[in-house]
Amino acid sequence: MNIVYYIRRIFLFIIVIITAISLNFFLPRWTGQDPVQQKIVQLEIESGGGGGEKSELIESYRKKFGLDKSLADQYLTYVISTLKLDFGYSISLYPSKVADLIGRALPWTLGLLTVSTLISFLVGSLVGAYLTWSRGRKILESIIPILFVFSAIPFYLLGLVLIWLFAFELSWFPLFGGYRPTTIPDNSLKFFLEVLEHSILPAFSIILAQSGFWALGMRSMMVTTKGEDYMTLAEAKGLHSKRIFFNYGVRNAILPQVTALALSLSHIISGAILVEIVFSYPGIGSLLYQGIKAFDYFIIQGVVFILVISIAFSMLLIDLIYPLIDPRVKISNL
Amino acid sequence: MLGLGILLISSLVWFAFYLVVDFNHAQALSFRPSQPPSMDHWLGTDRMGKDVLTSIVIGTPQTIQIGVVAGGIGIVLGVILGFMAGFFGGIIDYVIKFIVDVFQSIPPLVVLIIFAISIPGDMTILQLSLIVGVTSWLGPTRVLRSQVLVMKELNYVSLSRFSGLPSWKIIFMEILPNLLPYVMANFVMTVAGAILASIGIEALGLGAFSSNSLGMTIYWNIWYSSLLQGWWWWWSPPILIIILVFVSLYLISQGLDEWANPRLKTKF
Amino acid sequence: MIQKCLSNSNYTNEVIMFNAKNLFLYVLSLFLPFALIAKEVPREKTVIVGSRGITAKEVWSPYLLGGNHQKGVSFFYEPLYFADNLNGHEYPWLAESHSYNDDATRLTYTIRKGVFWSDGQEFDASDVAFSLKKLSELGSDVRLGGNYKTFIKDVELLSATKVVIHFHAPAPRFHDEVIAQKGDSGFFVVPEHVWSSVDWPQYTNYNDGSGPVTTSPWRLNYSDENRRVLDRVDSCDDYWGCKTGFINLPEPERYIWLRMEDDTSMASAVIKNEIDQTHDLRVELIQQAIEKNEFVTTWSGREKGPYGLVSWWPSSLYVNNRDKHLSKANVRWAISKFIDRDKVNDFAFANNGQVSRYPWPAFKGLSDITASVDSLGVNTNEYNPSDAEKLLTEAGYTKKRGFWVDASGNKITCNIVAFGIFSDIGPVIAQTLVNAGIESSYSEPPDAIDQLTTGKYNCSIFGHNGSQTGSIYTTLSMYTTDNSQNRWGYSNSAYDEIVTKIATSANQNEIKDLTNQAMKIWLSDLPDIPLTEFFNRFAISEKYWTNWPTMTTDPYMNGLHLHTGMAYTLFKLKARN
Repeated sequence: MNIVYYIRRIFLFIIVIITAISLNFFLPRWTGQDPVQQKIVQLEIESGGGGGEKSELIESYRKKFGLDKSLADQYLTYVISTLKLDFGYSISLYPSKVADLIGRALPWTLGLLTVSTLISFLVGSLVGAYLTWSRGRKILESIIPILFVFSAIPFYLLGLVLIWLFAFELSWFPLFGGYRPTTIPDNSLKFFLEVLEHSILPAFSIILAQSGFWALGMRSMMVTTKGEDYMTLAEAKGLHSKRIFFNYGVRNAILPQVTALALSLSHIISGAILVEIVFSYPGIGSLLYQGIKAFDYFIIQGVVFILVISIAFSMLLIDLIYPLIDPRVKISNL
Repeated sequence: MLGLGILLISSLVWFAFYLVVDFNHAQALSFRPSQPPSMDHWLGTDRMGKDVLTSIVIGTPQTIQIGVVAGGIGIVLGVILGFMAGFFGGIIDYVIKFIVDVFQSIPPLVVLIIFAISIPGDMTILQLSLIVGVTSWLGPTRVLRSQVLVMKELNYVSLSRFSGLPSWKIIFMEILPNLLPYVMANFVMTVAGAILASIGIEALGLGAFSSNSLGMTIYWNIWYSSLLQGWWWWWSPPILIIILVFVSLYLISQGLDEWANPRLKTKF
Repeated sequence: MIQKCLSNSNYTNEVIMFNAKNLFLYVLSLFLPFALIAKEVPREKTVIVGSRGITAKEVWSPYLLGGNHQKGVSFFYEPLYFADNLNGHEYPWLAESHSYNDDATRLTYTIRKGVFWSDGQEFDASDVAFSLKKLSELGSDVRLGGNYKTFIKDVELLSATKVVIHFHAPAPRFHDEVIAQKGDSGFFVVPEHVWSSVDWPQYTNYNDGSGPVTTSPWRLNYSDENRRVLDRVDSCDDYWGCKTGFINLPEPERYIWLRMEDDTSMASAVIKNEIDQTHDLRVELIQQAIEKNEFVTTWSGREKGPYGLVSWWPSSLYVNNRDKHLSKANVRWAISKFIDRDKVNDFAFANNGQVSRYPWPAFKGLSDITASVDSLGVNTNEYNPSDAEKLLTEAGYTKKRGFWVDASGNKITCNIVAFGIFSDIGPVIAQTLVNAGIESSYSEPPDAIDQLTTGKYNCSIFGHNGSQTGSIYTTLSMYTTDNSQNRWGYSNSAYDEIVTKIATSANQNEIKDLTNQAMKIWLSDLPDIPLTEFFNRFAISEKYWTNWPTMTTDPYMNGLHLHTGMAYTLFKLKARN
């Protein structure tokens, strides 16, 4: 195939990582605020203070986190350790290590996000495609505005309303968290079922909010596709309508959708962060929010790095696979 | 068309209220808090003692302002960069495309949050608009660039280039007018995206505290647990208005899309 | 592979993580360590509490840098005395009695016999002496250590049950303010045989999950940032209190602390009896909870307010004394007189708040002092706008276009930065000031705390970590020049002199006199504008547990789970049925 294309794509990926690392480093520090100071005073507020001078405490903290070294020094240390995937200690949650915190939070986010995104993509696209196909079904056509309304409401608002309605008023689902308060996580089936139970509402809010978007996108794609010549030919040939629908229609329309999926990954993640916060779901989003509120440079750096890598990696994957599913793509046009 | 209609009618309604309400009623401490709707207060009062109706009437244009300013920044940058990349190709294209690709991987919310925290003290609506604008230009740039690429190959454009017309003239007189519907459609969607992003930031408590924008109203709603308290007159107006705004914006952009590409016209 | 994942906690673990082939195994292995102790304890035998604030899972020492004693940690460090300053209760626990010598330079504790640690070792006065001595050596190198170094000259172990503390200078308040465990402070005794060989500022006492060595009936079961589970020992012989007949084992067999950042979820959870106690909640949320659930009650019961107990953290409007306008006492007094505190109370707390006159709480142990300062006759809560206007005019301000400006046309500004818990009163105060002609606003920027500590703020709302009982020296010292707590930037040398004299005096009458003198200066300057008492308003569900300390039943202890009194409360709770 076209080796150059693949090499360029991977090269881009690497550059993205390096840029992300650097931006990641400079942006929080650009704010000029002192996370250690923040932490100490926070402690004082939470727990009646302890008397005596605080400045020594602050100094030892700063030394511990290497915040007293020059910016260049810090940057170098940061780049090297990030590449080793050692994100250091968290400031606000000292003595936990950032990598541990991320390691524990990541599975939750991965699970919730990938499942809901896949479901909403598939369901949305199929619904969108089907809607253009079967004209005359007025009921189905009225779904479009409803779906659209849902996609217009921000994820988290939808989440709040869902919690209030289904978890509080109707008590069908649990109120918060990844699993029941009294349960200690273990390896049992019971635990996994609980996890499932707790993930239904968050997943549902993501799915509801996103499906509309995919459905509408798919609908416009299908409309364009339907106008193509080969569709007319297929009908004229007398092929079974279902076959035309799937093999010719959906298969072609789905391609731009897949690209759209790749492009909107970062937006989806943004939405997921908010959903996690609203549902107190113990994933990466909540961890990031926690880090941001506490100005914990290291948590922010670690999480953003992981996010960026995942998104860049997924985009890379999609870009690499795309030529395989759509042979028409002209490689040189990239 | 439908979208435009909705927008116009609601704007008129809003304007009518705007002329009538007393701005002071949107100050905190003006009335007894948390009163349900009554003759005095058509939408009741909120937890801080503001008249909800007044607050919404003042806040909606603030939110829309954020959207328009941010969307404007996004589209202007998108047009400039996208056109330059698409038309001139070569190294300019490479650099611009590269920058867009790199930043595409970073979740916009994260960038927004980090910018929002770094503003010391209280934020103003304008600052918020600028911040959101900074993250809004990626999408338009990419889309417009591909559109320009397509246009470049068209006959009449090639003709203009052969005839020796200076590049910028080609851009403004041939390409831009033809792409105008796309640009406008894109602008509308960017505005919608900007409004959404700003509401997200405000709902997290990082917005302009002293404003009455819809996002801040939602923030206060969440903070004061209005859902649990049953103050429906406070949480439903912002949500309804947001839906209204989005639906009309979407319909408008659909309309613009159809105008550009008549094949998309379908019976709704 | 799984063993490797479990044993390595450094970066090799993460490298493995990103190897797609092993991702699944890694995910699985994350759950394995948790399968260790999964003892089933029924809900009726569990006490579940929810609160805000995140703490690392390994934090189980109050002396750790970045440590925290709330969220269950303090349970493991039984005190010499439990105390409750709101109502002046004191309960000797590991100590039987204490006494000062005549000039308060020596403090002797008599330690109870028969106490033992969870690893079987005996507890006696040598552990107490060791802890005190080490703290006095470490000082501010550890959290909470400052006071010990400042006051303690030497610690003398007289016998297995008697220990004497020698002070540099008379310290009559040392027992109350430092040793007695109350609210958020106290002396946490540690076992000498464990702590003599560890680095105190770094030692987490997490011990890889097995938790601290303790004299208490609690053992650590599970801990992470979002929940902490403590289990009670099974048999009476495992706890010294029960074995010696001092007190029965607590009825709850398990204690779970949950992290809940969101008020709405917390309120919903208590309404559904999913948790037994919440963190501080807003008045109307508590009223909702009471209305929706018959089992919910509060410190003041179900019928009426204030639904909470007064905390030692009275709030005030912090004004930056270094500011051009706010440096004038007239301006500060004017601001104070512009604020109608009753209206604020009405608005913000639906009349369930309590105004505060001074920067110390309305505690029983301070009532004498409050009365004596009251006799000076200055009312800091007075709402008198015409008086306020007079004061401003005197200071050379005029009202132009609705705002007070000085001779050069600069407006008086009081833009308030604060955070979450003051959302109730913040906007109200800001609006009041604007109505009166002072430019003001309320916001909650993320750097509010930073601004406050570095003195870059204009105005703020905050509390006071000052005195709780006995004398108001600690509070007074907060206003001395260059004190680390002096965020107002207030400086008055006459005031400083008097406060220094109080520090070294042991004569009660002299102290009283000096206090009044200091307060006289303070009151005429008003560096800080008192607003309201800070209430700990939390909701309790009595579905599973009764006999919580409340005003309507028996206020035997400060019952908020974050405070050190919770360990005591657990001994008194009774299961419903």
